[in-house]
Amino acid sequence: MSKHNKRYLSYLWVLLAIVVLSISAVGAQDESPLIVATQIDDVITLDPARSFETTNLTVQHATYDTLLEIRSDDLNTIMPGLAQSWEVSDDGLVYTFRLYEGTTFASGNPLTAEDVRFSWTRLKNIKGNPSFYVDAVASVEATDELTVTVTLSAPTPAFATIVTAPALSVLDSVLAKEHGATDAEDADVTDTANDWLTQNSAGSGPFILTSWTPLGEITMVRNDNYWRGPATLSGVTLRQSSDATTSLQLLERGDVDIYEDIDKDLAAQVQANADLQLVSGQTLNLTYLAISPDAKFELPLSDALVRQAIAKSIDYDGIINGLLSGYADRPPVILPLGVAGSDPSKRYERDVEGAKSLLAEAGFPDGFEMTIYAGQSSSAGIPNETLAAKIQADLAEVGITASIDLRPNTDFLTAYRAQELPFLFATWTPDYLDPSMWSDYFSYPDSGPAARILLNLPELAEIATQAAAESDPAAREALYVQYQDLHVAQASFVPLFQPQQLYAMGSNVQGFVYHPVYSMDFYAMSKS
Amino acid sequence: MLFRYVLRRLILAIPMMLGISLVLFLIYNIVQVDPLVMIVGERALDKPEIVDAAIRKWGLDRPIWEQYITYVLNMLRGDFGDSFLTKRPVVDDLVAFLPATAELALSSLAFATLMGIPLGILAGVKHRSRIDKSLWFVSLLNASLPPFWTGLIFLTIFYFYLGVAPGPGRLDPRMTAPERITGLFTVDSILAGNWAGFVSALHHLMLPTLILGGFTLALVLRVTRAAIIEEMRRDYIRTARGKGLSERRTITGHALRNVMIPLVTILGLAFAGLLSGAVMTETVFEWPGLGQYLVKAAVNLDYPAIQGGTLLIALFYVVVNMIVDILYGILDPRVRYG
Repeated sequence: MSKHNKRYLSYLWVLLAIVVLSISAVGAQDESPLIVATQIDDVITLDPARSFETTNLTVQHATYDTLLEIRSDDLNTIMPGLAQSWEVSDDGLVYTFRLYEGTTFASGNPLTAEDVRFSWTRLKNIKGNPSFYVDAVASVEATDELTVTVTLSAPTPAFATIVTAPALSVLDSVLAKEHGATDAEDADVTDTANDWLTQNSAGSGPFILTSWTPLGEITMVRNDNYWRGPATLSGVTLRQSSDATTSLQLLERGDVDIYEDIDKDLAAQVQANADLQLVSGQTLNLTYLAISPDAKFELPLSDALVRQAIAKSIDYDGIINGLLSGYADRPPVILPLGVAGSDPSKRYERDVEGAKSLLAEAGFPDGFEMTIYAGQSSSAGIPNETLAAKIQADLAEVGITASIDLRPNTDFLTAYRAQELPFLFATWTPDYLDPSMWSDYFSYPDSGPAARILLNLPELAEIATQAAAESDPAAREALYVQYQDLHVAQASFVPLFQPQQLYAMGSNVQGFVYHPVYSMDFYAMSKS
Repeated sequence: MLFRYVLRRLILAIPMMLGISLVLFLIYNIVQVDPLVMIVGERALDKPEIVDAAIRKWGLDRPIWEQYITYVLNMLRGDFGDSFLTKRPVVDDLVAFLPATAELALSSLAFATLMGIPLGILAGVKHRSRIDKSLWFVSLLNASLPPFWTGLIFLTIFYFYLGVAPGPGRLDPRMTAPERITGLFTVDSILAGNWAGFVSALHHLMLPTLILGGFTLALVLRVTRAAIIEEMRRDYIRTARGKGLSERRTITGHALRNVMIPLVTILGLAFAGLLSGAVMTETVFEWPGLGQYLVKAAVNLDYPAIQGGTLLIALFYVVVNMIVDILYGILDPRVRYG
């Protein structure tokens, strides 16, 4: 080897040494917060009056408080939050909330009825995506320092449940106004607090938002002034982690404490690892088939017998056990398990022979041809392609020949909304836990999925209205049972499954309980 | 001279940018997707007040030509409109996502140049030797293996099994990001005097740089090698050797100067490409950069963001090409700005 080449080689060795040294250098660690590997790429804003995605619910639950709360252990009971008590007038139009004394925001400012008035009025006037929560609210008044009086424009028994939604969080009005927040009538153009509220919180919750890096991470630190006493965790970091294998590697190496929404395929691997624990939570999400009864599509689907035949042809258990490794439940039509009024018996069972005879009765003994539409995404972790193929195979067993048309999600939603799709599957996720969250959207010819498949059934609409307005809980449940009977006979919405959400975490994480709206409650958690 | 040349090149970029924006605008209007689905979300579509407010805010009730003219006028003021998806000004989004990409692009370019040129010279000088052949094989491997695959394999080996490299992300998750000055974590950590942060940021750059830079390295290596082989046969090299110059002086003082011309072209284009965001590498390493942002925008048909991002990338190419042209003049006095 010549002298020159030796020189080049030594140059390369130096470079290599730099590479190796930097690879083996290890960064120092500070006091460790709870780190969650999850998908935060849905976040657009963290302003409670503007955000309408999923991750924001977890963050807002940690950084703000609501007047009332629904806790994980009992989804049908409303508990006090910032309000120690509340009353509803006999006509159901006036709600009076009495706040606890001495609660303060993380800033140290006292929390008063004025802050509630400000927050809810602002939510309404911003006319953002979550503003419809307060559609029924005619006015909010701070009657005195600790009393809030809300007047509704129509009786809305779901209102107390709506008050538990993170969108109705109470903001520190003094702090928020300093950063451009306003509750004025024209807040949709004059409110300039969005940028600030996306990087900071103005709440009274157990944690304080300190940063959001889009597609990166969301960081929160403990609020030492929390009115219920400070949390155990020093802070929480939600970090973006889209690849399932990498997320599990992060967890196994101890770089994250919790891996949210773990792939069902990886569940067995977690259970086999003694250092990890697997926790499942029942979501209130519903993956459903929608079958339009409308004649304009010129398909046999307009015949109720055909729709019932389809409902009988689906191999529900096969989908749950085969595609979801058993981590899902079979919900009734259309209220998921866990919601008041949900009756598990109001569902369809697989019966291939029964389906065939229904088809024959309807005049299609040899089946017919149709198309399955869906978005190019996934349902509870199953690629929609796979789910569509399973449905296609099930339909083939009763003689129906279905082709599959998967479209980019935006295109799919555009066509669904334009009432162009006669047969599709999609997923419905709730924002609050009142049954009207479903009945408002699956019953009326001018609202939600019902409108999109041109479902126009006056009896269904009528009973949905009655049930939503009924304030006696028992009578309300009875009405919802009747409501589900009508859905079963109609067979325009056929629930496929209600997925469970799986969490893998280190065995040192304690106090984790799943909640179907905000998923994690960091206040109750600790790390040893 | 130079100033007038740069100015003229920049002015010429304006009609090009307008052309690109027009094409993008027309494509969007042919696709016929309802932007409201994205702006207000599935649920709120049934609420007329919310939908009306959105239509007014985003100017969707105005004719297409008017939307385009407004767009161009705003663009000339540096306002690319608001992203449908993030609801924030596109310029703010691009400014937020660019530094992560820039940091990775710079480190990849540095890696590719510092490793690629010497290796290329070595391969060229030792033309057809065993070293040359093995380097050729490695660079072929580098250029043909998909980064999402090598990325996952590298993470599994170096992070998961060996523990010598950090996991995905730009910084140790237990650390707080340095206060944003340039947006480059390495630079900002140093400016803040945070040594541990600097080390962690550098450490996190390693694997993605190896993957992304490895691709460029292969390119640089092959171009350098080919050029060196070509140059070493020339008369002036024989003259230099004849004068009694050492082999090292012959290569670094004479051959390398001529090799730099094709190399600068390649490096310029590679750098513009790296700045446009490496989607796969960014995804595997959870790198919150431009590539991920633009893919998300494309999937959601967020056209203000697509338009702004595409124009920014076009601008990178214009500027990089201009710098390359200027470098030509410096490297080769025969090239002058006509």
